[in-house]
Parts: sequence; structure tokens; C-alpha cells
Amino acid sequence: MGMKLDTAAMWKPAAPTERELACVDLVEAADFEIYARKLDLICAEARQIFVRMGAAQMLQSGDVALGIYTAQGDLAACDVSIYLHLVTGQIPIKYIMQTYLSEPTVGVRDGDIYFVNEATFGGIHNPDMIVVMPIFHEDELVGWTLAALHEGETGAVDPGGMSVAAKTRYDEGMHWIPIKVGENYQLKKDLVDMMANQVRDPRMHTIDLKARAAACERMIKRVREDVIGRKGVDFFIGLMRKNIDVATEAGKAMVRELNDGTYRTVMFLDAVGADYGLVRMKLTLTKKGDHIVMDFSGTSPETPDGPFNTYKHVVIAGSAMYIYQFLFSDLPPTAGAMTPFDYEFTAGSLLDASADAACACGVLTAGFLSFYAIPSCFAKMIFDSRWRDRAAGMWGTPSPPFMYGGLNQYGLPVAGLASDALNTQGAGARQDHDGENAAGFSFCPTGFLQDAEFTELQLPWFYLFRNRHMPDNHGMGKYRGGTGVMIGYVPHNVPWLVCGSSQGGNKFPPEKGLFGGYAAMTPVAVQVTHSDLKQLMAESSDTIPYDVFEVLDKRAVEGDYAIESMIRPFRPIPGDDIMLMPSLGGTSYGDVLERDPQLVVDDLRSRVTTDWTAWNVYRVVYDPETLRVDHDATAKARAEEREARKKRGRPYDDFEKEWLQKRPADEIIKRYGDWPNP
Amino acid sequence: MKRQITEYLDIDLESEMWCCHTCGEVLISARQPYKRGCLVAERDPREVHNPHIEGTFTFAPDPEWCRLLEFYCPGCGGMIETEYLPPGHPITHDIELDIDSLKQKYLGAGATAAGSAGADCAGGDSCTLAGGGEG
Repeated sequence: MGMKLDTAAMWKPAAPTERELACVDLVEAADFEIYARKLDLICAEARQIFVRMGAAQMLQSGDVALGIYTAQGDLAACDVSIYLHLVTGQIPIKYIMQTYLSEPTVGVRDGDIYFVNEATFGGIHNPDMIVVMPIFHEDELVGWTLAALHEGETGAVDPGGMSVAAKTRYDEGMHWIPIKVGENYQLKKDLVDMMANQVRDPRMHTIDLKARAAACERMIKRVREDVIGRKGVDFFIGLMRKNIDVATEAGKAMVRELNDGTYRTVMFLDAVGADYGLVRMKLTLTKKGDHIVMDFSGTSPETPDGPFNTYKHVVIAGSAMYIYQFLFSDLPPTAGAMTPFDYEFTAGSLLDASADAACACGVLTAGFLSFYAIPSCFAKMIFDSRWRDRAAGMWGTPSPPFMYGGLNQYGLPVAGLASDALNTQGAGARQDHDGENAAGFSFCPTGFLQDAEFTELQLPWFYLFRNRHMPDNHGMGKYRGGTGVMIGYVPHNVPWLVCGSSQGGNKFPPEKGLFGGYAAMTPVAVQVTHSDLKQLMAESSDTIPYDVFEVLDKRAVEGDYAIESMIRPFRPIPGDDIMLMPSLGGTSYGDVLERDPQLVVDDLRSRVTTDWTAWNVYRVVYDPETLRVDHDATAKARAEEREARKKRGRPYDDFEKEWLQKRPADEIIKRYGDWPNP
Repeated sequence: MKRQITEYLDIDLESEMWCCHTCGEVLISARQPYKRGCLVAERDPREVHNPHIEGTFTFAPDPEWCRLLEFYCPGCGGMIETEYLPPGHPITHDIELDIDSLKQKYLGAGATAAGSAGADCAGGDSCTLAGGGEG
């Protein structure tokens, strides 16, 4: 049976030590402002080192995490990066301090390089691989550094690291609890080789392990030179503590101002593995004074045959992505910001799974909660406050990753996760404007879409298209979410490539519109086998398709079409096949009938929406040739629709009496738990 | 005194009533779920999500799995909220404010003793007061 660490006390800041309390008074206000930013910039510099050295596509896209921690393991400073990793990163550090610091066969010394990817020990899922290194001043351990990255390969039953076929942890490949893989700033070759021997892409793994260690080493060097060297070690210790304390006090003060009450939401996933089946996640958020409890009881049970299970600390760290990026966007993103929050889970549920559970895709489960369920509750709490502008729609999350394995065009083994769909998510709508199209990756707002040619140079495919927004692929409302894109992959210069993907949402939209908005579309995956695309390209044909609907509606390419779930079991894809994958659009804000008709027509002109939606959803009347809005006819159509709503709508009690008699088919709720309340 | 709680919902603190922010229509006691004061419609999600293609996967939610509930203001027909639920799943009691705390915050000490214009909600997860279980 797998080991499962009790992480309950590890994600909140530890009580300050006497040394920290003595040091914090040394940090005057002006120095705090200067040197707190200095710590951030040290992390930012390390990010550049990390990204420029790495091989994985997510690394080259900047989807990483860099942080500096106290000696006790509390997050004290970071780059604007994946807060999910930064929060759970505290857990392996605290485990090392508790378990190995005084263990004579292990110990913690200057130059040690620790590696961890075990989800139950503070990882997220095992593709998320973390290096932590201690900061020593003379003989004193004064802090830690962290560099983390999702590595798209774990030696699981499928390539790509997020196997939808995994039924238990034993199908998922590497599970390394914190282990010292280097000493004296040198990686140990035997352990590096052992890791390389466990995966399909040893080159990528080895390069990225070195990149993590180099990023940590750079942070250590800068802290020593630029902070300790200038201001002394006591100042450094006090600076970290103060950065935590400021976030603690400011976070509590903000929460105290918000309206007391209980806020609830439910959300549903339509697939938790290779097979379909509805599951529910439920959040009851209670706010009183300066304290918030997020209670996830009422969530469906762990699935014994699928990889969408996850662990408490992953959900908690997932909530930090919303808290740090939106709710407390003006506070230091340190451990202190999590002080106002507590969490409750039901053991054995999808969110508090057993140690043997498969959890390779559990990050998607937590991601849905982070960007749809949790913000939905907070938006209703903070609207009536001076932070009203933070009640906003959320980014299209997480987006289905396209995973691959095989040989590249140079004959080298490759396996990984393509980050295109992640770094092109639509942003959420705000109270006064639409979400940005193809904005980026919700988990890492500073990530970016990797250059297409650079990717094509390294990996065995070309993009049929990746630069067109996908019509209607966003939440619809007074303000719409940013729209996502559709990406066309075509294996190239290799006879075949093994490909798959792992995300549902094809039958039930996980996302939510805000304040009366509609959800985004439920996009699908498309594969065209035995296509004549390369023949068309050889002929420079003008029928080569440039977006998904040219493929689907016009059948611009001849071949066998398969319209599929976005959870696609791995299969070999020959070099003439086309794989289409969407990125997800952002969520909406407000009543569709309040949308400025001109914005609807602008979206038509830019092919972000369709004629169907312009009428059936927005009730906009326009000249189809000139796209000029008929404002009078639109106002009349909208007035008629409001009257139609009043006729269609029924008094609540009458409606509910009939509604509660309904029930989905047993096949649909086979994994749900007791209906309707698991 | 009214407080705007969401884009389309106010609470009148003196009368303790939910009101439509757009037209002022009085919906229901602020101690009850506001949805109980709305008109409710169940819709096939394909009515508002463009089913671009036919087949098992259409780019629109599957109505066997998912229904769209719309909550309208009975006065102006404005869309106060939406909810995507499996057929028959209890409707969520999404906002349950501590009304006494809210009144004290904005009306001052002693305001919490004011009488309620509506029945006190039994509380709970669902808008259902009897028989629906939690949502």
C-alpha cells in the first residue's frame, strides 16, 4: 500500500520561532519594501534560468513555480507562477525537516538537492516534480528554495504523465517521496540514471532535473549575495517572517469586512476516467468574522477505477490559486495569506482519496474547484464590498492536455504533454468588459504560448492551425468569457505518434456563468484518419482548412472522421492523421439580454460567435450582409423574450415539486454515490 | 436601506426582503432563498448552446445529463441567476446571509431585533424547505 502523509498541519504557517520574532523587529518599513521585492526578483531571475535551461514543453512555456521558504518550510516569497506548486511545496520541506534533518543516514546540509513527486507527500499528481534545496548561512539552515514543473512523463502505463487508463497508483509510474538526489551542489549520477531509466523520455527528465537544481542554486546565490550579504542573516530571517505576517494580518482584515453568511455551490464532472459517469463536488463556504471554512462534504466517493481522485492538500493548494490571484491579488502571496481559511473533507471521497487511488488527473478535479466552484461562492460574498471588481468570471480551466509518446524526427525518444491548450485559455468576463481571448493558463498567468516553429523543430508534429479563435467557445452573458482556440496537430516526419488526452466536460459543463450568465460550450475532440491533408498541402490547395468548423462543416479534408470525447485513450496516430483539441473559453457575467448588440455583431465579424447564437441567445437583429444592428428591432425582440421568460417561468414551489421527481439514468450516476446527496 | 448583493439582487435591510436590483420587484424574505421568489424555467441546454453538429457529442451539453435552470424576476423578466444541474438534482441554496449581522453592520446596534416580513427560513443546503434533501 502506498504511503500517505498527514498533511493537515503543513499548509498553514507554523508559529514563529523565537529567532524569527527577534529578527522581525530588525526589518524597518522602507527596507521591507525594498527587500521583499528583492526576494520576488530573485525568484523571477531563477525563473529565467529555469525556463531557458529546460526541455519539457510546459517548462519552455514558463508554466513553472519558484519560491523561497523559511527554515520551517513556510512560503515567504515567490515569482508570479503556479501557486498550486508553491503551496504544496511547503509539505515536502516540512516533511524533510521533521523526518530527515536529524536522521543520521540522511540529514540536511548545504548543497543538498532534494527531489519529490509523490502526490501524497505534497506533490499534486506525480507528473508534478519538485526540487527543494536548503539555504545555509555558515552552519545555520536559514531557508529553502523550490523549483517545480509539470514533467509530461512519469513512466506510467501511458506516455504523457496523466494516464486516463490508470486504475491505481501502481499504473502511474514514478512515486518518489522526498529523496536526496544530490549533495554539495552536485546531482548524484546513479540516482539521475535511475530516474532516467524509469521514463520514456530520459533526455527531457535529466535536463529538467538539472534545470530545477540550477534555478534553486541561483536563488541561494542571490539570497546570500544580495540579501544576507548586504543586510545580514538576521535581517533575511526577519524579512521572510514579516512577509508572512503582513499577508496574515491584511488577509484577515479583508475577510473581516465581508458579509457573514453561508455560500454554496455544486459542480459536476461527467467523466472520471476512460469511461463516462457523473460525479458531484460540493462546496459549503461559511464566513464569520475573519474566518472562512470551506467544507467539501457531500462530494462523490473516490472512484476505484479512474485517475481523477485527489487529496486534501491539492484542493487546498488549488484554492490558493484563486485566493492569491484574485481575492488577495494585492497581498504578498506567502503562507500568511492562507491563515483565514480552514477546510473540511469527507474521508474516502473523490477529494480525500486513499493512498492507493489513481490520481494522475486529480489536478483537473482540483482545478475545476479552484476556478469554478470556489470563485462562484466568493463572488457572491465580495460583490457587496469595496472589492466588488474582484467578483469576476474565471478562466477556462484546466483545458484538455494533448499527450504524446514515440520517436521524434531525429530518432530520439520523446514523451510529454503539449501545453498549447493550457496556454490559450480564455479569461473570465468582468463587470465591465469581456474576457480576453486565448489569454493564457489560469494556473500560471505569467506562462505563454510557445512559439509554433520552435515546437515543431523539437517535436514530431506540425500545427494545421492554432491561431484561430473558436466560435462560441466561451461563456455567454452581458459580458462574455474570452474565447478559446482549436488546435490541429498533424504527426510529421515520423511514421506515427502515440497520442491521447484526459479531460471530460463534453456532456456536462463544469464551469459556471456568474450572475445569470450561461456556461461555455462543451467542446469535443476530433480525429481525421487516412486524411488527404498532405496531398492537399503538396498541391497548395486552397481547401486546406484553417479552423475546426471548416474541418467539420465543410469536410475540407477527405478521410474518416471521429467525433470524440476529450478523454481519449492513447492510440497510435499515423502521419496523415489530424488530431483536433480545444482550449476552453472563460466564464461569463450577467444576463445575455443586457449585452450591447454592437458587441455581438463585433463578435460575428471576428468569428468569435455565430449567427445562431446572435439570435437564439442574444436576440440581436442585424443586416446579415452589412452586419449593421437594427436597434429598434433588437429592443423589441428582447422585450418579447423577457415576456416569454415570464410565461415560461413557473412559481418556485410548483416547479420544484415536479423537478424533484426527475432523476438521471442509472448508467449516468453509476459513480455518483447515493442520489442526490452522495 | 438597500444593499446590492449581486448584479441583480438587493436586500432591503429594513423590510428584510430580497428585491430585484433592476426593477425593484420584491421577491421574498431575505431569510429565505432568493430563488424561491423567482420564476423558474427548465430548459434543454441545446436551446442556448449551439449544437454545431449532430451525434453523441454536439458541442452542447447533453440533456440526459444536464439541464439548464433559469431564475427570472417576476417583475421585469430579468435573468437573476442560472444553474446547470442533472435532472432532478435539488436546487442550490447559494446565498444564505447572516441577516442579523448584515443589519448590525449597516443599520447599527439594535437593528437586528426588527421583525421579519417573511417566514424565517429553516436554513439548509437546498432551497427546498421540506422533502428535497440537501443540494
